[in-house]
Amino acid sequence: MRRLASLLVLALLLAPTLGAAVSYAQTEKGPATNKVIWMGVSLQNAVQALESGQIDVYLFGLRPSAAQQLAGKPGIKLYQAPSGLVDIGLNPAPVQIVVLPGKYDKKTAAQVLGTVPENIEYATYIPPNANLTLLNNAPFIGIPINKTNITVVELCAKLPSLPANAKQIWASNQMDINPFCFRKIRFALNYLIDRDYIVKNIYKGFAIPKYAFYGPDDPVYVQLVDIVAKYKFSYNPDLAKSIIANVLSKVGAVYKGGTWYYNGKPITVIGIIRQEDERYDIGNLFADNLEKIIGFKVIREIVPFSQAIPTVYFTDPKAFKWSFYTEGWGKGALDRWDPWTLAQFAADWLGWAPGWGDNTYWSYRNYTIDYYSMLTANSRIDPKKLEQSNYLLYLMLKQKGLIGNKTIMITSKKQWIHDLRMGTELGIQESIRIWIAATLSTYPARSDVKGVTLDLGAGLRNPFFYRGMYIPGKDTIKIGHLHVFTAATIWDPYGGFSDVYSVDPALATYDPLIWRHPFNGEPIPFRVSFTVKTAGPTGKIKVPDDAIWWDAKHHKWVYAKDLGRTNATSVVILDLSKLIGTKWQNGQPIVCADILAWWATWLDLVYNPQKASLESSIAGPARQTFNKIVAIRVFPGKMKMEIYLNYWHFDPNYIADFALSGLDAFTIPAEIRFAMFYLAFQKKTYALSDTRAKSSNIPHINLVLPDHAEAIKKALEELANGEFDKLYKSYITLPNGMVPVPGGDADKWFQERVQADIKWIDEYHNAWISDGPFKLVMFNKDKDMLELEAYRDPSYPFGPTTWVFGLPTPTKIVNVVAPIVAPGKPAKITVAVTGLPPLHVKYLLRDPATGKILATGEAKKAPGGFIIELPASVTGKLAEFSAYELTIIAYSDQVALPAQKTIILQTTARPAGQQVQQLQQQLQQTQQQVQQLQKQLQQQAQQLQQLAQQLQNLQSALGKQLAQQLQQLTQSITQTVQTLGQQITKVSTAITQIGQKIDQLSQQTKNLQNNCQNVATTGDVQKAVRAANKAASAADSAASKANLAVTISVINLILILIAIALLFKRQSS
Amino acid sequence: MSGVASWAPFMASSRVATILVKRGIYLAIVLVIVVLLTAVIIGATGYDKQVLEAIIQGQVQAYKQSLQRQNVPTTKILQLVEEYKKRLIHLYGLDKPWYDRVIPMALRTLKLDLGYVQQEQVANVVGEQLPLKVSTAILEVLPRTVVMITVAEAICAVIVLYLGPMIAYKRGSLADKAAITYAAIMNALPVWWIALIAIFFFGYYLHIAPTRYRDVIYYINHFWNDPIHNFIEILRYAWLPIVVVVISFLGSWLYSVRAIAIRVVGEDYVAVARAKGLPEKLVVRRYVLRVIAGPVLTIVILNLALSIGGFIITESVFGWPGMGSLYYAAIMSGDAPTIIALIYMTTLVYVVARFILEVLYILLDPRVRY
Repeated sequence: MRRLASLLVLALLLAPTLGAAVSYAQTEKGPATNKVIWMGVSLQNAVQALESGQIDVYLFGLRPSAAQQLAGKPGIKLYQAPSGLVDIGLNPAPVQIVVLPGKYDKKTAAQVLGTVPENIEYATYIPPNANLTLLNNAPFIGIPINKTNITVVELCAKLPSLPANAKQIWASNQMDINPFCFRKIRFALNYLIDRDYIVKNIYKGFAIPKYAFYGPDDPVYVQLVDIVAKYKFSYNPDLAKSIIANVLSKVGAVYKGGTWYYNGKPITVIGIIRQEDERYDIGNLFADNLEKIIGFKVIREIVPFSQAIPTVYFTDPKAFKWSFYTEGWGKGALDRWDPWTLAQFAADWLGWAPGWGDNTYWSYRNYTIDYYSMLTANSRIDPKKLEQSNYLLYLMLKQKGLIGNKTIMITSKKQWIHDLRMGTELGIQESIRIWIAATLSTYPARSDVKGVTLDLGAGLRNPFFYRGMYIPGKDTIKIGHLHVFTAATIWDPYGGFSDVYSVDPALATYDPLIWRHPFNGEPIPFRVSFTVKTAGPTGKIKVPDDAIWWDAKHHKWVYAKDLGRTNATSVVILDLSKLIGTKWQNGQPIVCADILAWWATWLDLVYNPQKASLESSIAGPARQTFNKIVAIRVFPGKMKMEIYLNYWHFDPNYIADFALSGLDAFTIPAEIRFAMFYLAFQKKTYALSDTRAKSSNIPHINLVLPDHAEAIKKALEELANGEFDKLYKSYITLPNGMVPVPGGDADKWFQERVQADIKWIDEYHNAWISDGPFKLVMFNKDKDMLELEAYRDPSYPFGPTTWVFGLPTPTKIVNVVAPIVAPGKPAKITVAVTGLPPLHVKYLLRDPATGKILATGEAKKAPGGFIIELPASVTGKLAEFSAYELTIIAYSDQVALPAQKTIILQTTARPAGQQVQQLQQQLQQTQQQVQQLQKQLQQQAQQLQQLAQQLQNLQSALGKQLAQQLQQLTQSITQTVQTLGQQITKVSTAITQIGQKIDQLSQQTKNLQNNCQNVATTGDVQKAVRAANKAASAADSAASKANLAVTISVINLILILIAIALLFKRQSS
Repeated sequence: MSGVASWAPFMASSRVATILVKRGIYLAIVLVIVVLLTAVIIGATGYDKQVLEAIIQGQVQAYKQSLQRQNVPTTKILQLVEEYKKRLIHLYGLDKPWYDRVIPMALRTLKLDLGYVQQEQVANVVGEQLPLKVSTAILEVLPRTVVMITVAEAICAVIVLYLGPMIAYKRGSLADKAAITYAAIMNALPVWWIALIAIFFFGYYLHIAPTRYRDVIYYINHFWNDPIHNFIEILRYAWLPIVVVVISFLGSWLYSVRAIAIRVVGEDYVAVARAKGLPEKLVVRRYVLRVIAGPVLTIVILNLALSIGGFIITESVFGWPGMGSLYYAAIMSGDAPTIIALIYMTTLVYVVARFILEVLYILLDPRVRY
């Protein structure tokens, strides 16, 4: 963790920080540079192209080996951001599945089967009323269940024999034992990975060690950091070895000559190791450790992507085509509140755990993780829906009592964080993936490039950088990317923009309405600002009567209330003052009609059956978002709009983000949208998605290609000749008949628009007209190159420095001052932290000998830093002259990168007065014990005496004959009772005496304390200690005597009662 | 012994014509078998299925992830993903058995109906977007290989036809030794290494050669807009790759032609010609070159024909998206129509070259009458 901090600091702090001075006047509108040339440069040429000045920035993240070449080169600066994740995925499938009649849990099933509970991965009880059809549709063991009231038991090691009532329904013919089936063994593997070595030597420092699925590269990690720190997954092969040995020997495996054997065969695992990148070394290192340290046999299969993917993700885990696989993942954009990492990497309901959501395969399951991850990801669990979608999970959550009949919802941030923490901790314990590192991509730039903003998810590939970048004294910046044009590079806001080569330059040409903060992933206002009102998660607000919705059937805007859309959970109010009234790059003012066309085309695409079926790959996913939007409300003439939706999140920014997530980012004017629709749905000569393009063999419309732009131009001309009136005028006509364009004359407005577009297309040979800081003036697919020119219209709202965030300052722990701690006395540790405020500090105190966490908490803010206060109650638990580990975690609300530091906390002797005090406490405790004993004994004695009395009464009450028979017995009993009573009284007296002695001693110690105050001599203390010890042992022996006496008397009582009962029986017979 | 004299019997002989027809039919059958065999290899071994499945899985994963980030409910995600997967499976024909998938494709190919490129990776090499006809793809890419590889091979052939017999004739001379050493060194140096050094030196250091070669596509694609200007531009891009390929391949050319020539140089009639005191040049041209013309021509024509297939590594170093890259992309992405069409096309060129050779053999060597 320290490496992470130092690495990033090194790499990042080399460059200028926030608010770099820009040579352009603040009053000037638009970006910081005048011209951008964007060209395709292959990876092998990137380094030379940068050095020779052919390009100034390279936007395609370099791998560690390439980045290394550039490290330390003069004139080149390296910017880094996490871009990938690497882990070792484990196959936890069982080797044998048996069915027992009736209900069992792991323990009872183990007893019946004659094995240890550790050997049982799952014992799943299928209740008598279970719906077997639904059950067999859910991912489970991949074998249909045709009986109820049974328990399905999945075993990690095959049993030599089964009891008569157990029926085997499946057994592996490949493996007798799967070590990765045991949860404890999977967990122990975390200690078998030397992540520091991997980061340093295999990734050459271009990676961050990762100990769990959430790591320092995730903004939400600061909420979980103490959980991860708790397990301290450092390289500790001995610990791994001992945990594994413990489990394996319990199930009957034997360790011989450095290898584990089960059923006489060496325990074997199959490792699928990818050959293309660093994972080759990682996989082999892991395999070596399994072989040499643990003693498993490893079959290594070193394969490329095309073989690994089908072997791992297309096979039943219980077919054991693989045991571990060196997985790699691309990292998505930064997300402030990201629940998906948990759901994807630790739970199975999304289909990313072994079993892959396929009900014909055996599937890994952890219902509690499923519960927490579902809640955090979907913010609700509806039992009725769950019953249909995953019946097994439904049954198990019911059995666990986690769900009832009502929908469970997340209702607060606190609950969300709690649930995420619970899920995360369980996920770490389950360890179906052993996390290794987050790999860093390096974005090199020449050092004269200023105005840099680095995004912690996307590196330099962020809209802020394009707006702020410039080279002093030059008006052009040359950007290299791996490509500018590929077969997948489609500039189409509906179904295109699926590759980075189109997304990246386009972000320089349009302004998104909302974007994510580059340092923490929080949605922030960009071209529009917003406010959110919500009644969620359960309440509703009324949708105003003049709110509207698109009627896809009748092809027109109608009042939402007429469609029964009358209430919603939240409303997002957009302030459009930086949008409406400014101009598209062709000089046409942006108007309310553009907003209407933007929504109408999307809603039509999604809800119009013909369009939706032609472009199903766009409509299908988008419908999920639009189904939650209730209505919109526009205010012609006002810079405002409202979006009513059924969506709630504890962070209102997320509600705003969701409201716009179904649409494109308001990238192109209304008439270009109409032209695209005209070509796609009237002419049917172009497609809006690649799936339609491929299946109908028509081109996917790409607004930057000259021939496509010509097609758009022709379409525009046809629209202007009357087709617009017929087909698309309704898209921008409000229910009251008003068309919100300047002057209200839609046809005139449309003609003007078309003329401006045609001029643009003739000049630039593309139809990409947008509203951002750069105009696309050249796109040459053959030369793999494009050119951008600054758009500096006076109406454009932003200047060259508006969006410069600079570089994320990682939080750093610069100094920790820890005193030597005297156990029992409060201690204060001062921590100095630098970073972007607001900053926070958490701590974790651990006993290194036992690994136990002794205290956790948050440090208090103080002038000049933070203070960790360890109260006397905590330090009192510490031993003298020992060392403890204090892990300090510092983080900022603004930047995702937390800092972590572990220091050793030394303890000294307890203060003398302290010791005396402790003695006193001990004595008091003993005193109390003695008093209690006394009371007990007295009660006992009284009871015995009463008994003796009763016996005598009984005797007199009984008949003469019986009395004679009884006399002898009674006498002896009475005698016994009396002697016992006497004995007890004696013990009682002795104890009272001891109590008095202790009182005296206590008084003495008190005096001692008073006398010595702070300066007691060691001799005094030792005396007192000895005296106290004596008293304690005396009290102990008295207590044991008393206990003995009590026990004896109780036994006697029982004997007497039995005797009496016997007598009565005889008498009555 | 003169060429003219041999024409008459050749033209007259219907036997020769029959032989040529027979050879033609034989070669055509070879062509059909090769194409069908390729289809069977691709399909029956499960090769295309495996690659396509991996591609589908990758696309499905990306699709799933994109849905998850959109907050789509789980049940819906699973349903949508399933639908998407089915669509892709249908699109790539994986819902059909292999023979239904590839055999009709091969038969259509034989009828020159090459179909559509399936994978974006292949379209990337061409520099176009899908939908893209395989025939268009090949026609666009072929000229790129011709202007670089084929031209380089042709230059090699010309040089070697001049130098090869000379060296062989002066066996053991300094020139001969130098040629052998050169051939040995060039055989050991990989062409990509020479290319990298050349790009670095002439491109980044001397600035007299381009550093991004992909731009050449633009001038080839728009050649007829301004042929003279574009020709010069193409030359500007192609000269370095051509020089590199010639330097690199000349060695092996020299070696093989020298080996053929040496045998002839040792023949008695050459010794007699020398003894007669004929000028050296005449001896080489008439007594050596004329005799080795058959085998040398075989090498030249087959090499030129095979150069159409492109060289993957050389192309990738220069970022020159030619036929080699197209082959590579098609095989790696399991794009069966493109693979079959490429094999068909290269085999066709080879078969035609063979046929031309048959005719040339007869022309060049009157002894050849079968």
